[in-house]
Amino acid sequence: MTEYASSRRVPNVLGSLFFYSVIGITILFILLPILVILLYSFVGSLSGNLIESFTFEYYREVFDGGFDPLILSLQLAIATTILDVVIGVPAAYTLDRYDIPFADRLRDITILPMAIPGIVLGIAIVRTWGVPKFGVDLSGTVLLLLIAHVIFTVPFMIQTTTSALQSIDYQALEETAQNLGASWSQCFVHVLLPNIYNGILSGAILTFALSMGEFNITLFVYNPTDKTLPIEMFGGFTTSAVGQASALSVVFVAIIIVSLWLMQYLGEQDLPKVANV
Amino acid sequence: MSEIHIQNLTKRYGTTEAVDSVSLSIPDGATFGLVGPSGCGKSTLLRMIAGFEQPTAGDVRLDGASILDLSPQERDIGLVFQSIALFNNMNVIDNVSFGPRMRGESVDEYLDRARDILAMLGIADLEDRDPRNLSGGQQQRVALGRALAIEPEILLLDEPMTGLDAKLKRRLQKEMVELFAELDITAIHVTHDQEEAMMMCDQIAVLNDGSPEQVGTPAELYESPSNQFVADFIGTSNLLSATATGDYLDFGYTQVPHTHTEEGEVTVSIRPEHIKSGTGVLQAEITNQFYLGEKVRTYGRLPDDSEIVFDETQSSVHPGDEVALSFDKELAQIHPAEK
Repeated sequence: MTEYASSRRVPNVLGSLFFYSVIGITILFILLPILVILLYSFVGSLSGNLIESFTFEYYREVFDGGFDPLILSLQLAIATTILDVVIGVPAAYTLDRYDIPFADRLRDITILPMAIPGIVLGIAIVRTWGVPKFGVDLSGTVLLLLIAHVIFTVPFMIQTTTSALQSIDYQALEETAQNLGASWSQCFVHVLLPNIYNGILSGAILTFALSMGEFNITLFVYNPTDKTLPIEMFGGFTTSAVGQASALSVVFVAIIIVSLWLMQYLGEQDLPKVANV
Repeated sequence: MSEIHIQNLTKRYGTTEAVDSVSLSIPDGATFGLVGPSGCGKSTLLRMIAGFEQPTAGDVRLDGASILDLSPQERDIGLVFQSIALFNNMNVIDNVSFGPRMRGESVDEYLDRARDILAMLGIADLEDRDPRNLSGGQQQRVALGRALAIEPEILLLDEPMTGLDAKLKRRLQKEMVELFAELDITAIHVTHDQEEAMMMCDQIAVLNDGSPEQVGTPAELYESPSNQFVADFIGTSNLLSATATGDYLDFGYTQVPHTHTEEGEVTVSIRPEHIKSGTGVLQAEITNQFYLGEKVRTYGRLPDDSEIVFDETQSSVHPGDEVALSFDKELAQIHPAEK
């Protein structure tokens, strides 16, 4: 009896230990680079006495140097997200709602930017929109950056919105609303949008984060006078201004975390009630 | 007045005819049932009346005027879908007042009307609830209330009792019959449950493969089915093969005197309750028996290996026994045999 009881207990303890260790190691693995950067932002380099080299100097340099790259990245991310919603949501709806010939192929095409490596996309965009065309020259402009960010992120918005649409029988909801006298736009605003709202919000959070962190495509498309935050950081690390670049990175991560938290918080508000006045 | 006339309504998908030139007249205030097996076209018919499908041919007229040119928004029709489709982003009273709200009525007007309807349906206390937290029966009542709030000329119901347990179904069916009578509303009720149709409808059309086999009152359909399909679909029927010759029905293993107009190969349909055990020319070996409370249903095998089922209030026989059965010749229906 005693033997049976103890052999029942031991595997449970071992099991818990195993799972907690795996979780712990995974989290450490993910956090370690961030912790290292955090360290660098205060000490500049790992050679020499860490306690002595501790300083806020690099952060001061960041705040003195101006927030231009940060502001540009934020503006770009917000604009990209808004454009993604305006383009992506109707696209996802149209592809799912109507019996369009080759709808599946069209959907595959909208996924393409996700699959193509950023570098390839960057070169392609530069060659297409970055050269003078029809009397318009977009090379080196912020508009080109915006186009690049939208092309790269809109597939994600389309994906999340499509998932949200496919998880509900929105056709029955639409028909019911129409039967009750709602026009198509009333139907869209009062019935459809509130019910796929979560999908759109996830898409927005995702595209915001992707745009903020976007580097591969931006590298080909940017203009030295308009640098986004990742480009600025890249520059910092390659010119050995490691301390300053690290401080910039920490500020960057902090801003992303706050932005995502804010969006999630807004998402939990009773927005459907607002749309339903 | 809300009379509906469906004239030669047809819906063709490619080469398949889902609805085949159906003509029906539904009087003002009647509850009209459309029954039939899955795929018989009843839901397609309903969707054409509601305006979600365009007919290939034919017309739907409400009080003398065609409604085919009207959009679903413009047709004065209330609809309760099989899926119920409540708006989960709104509470109950917002759901019920949705129609009047979209049509631009004032807040006081539409809220008052919604509250009246909720009270009439016995769910006034559910006003602020989230539809997702309601039971099946409650959701169904909210859907009905939502449809009635726009004060439609006609009510269309597409299998509204799907997913509800048997007792609840019976209660709701009775409530709806009483409600429709009180409101004097014209309703079309689509269902695959012929018992439900018999209970709720003044007239029923039995559909098969896109067209009606018979249209009549529940009594007419049950007691005088016009063909084998209706006899089989409505209630339970024994369908026995026989040859009708002169004054006899020849079952092969026995002959029964019978006056009839049919000749040749026929199907004799007999209701289980019209068969008595004890004496008679039909010899059967009992294969199974089920106690159903108000009756005992017994299955037997006839000499030609076909099955016979009969109902009695109490059973005198048991599986394995041989029993002699007779049937009420007046009430049996004779139809030409179908392939």
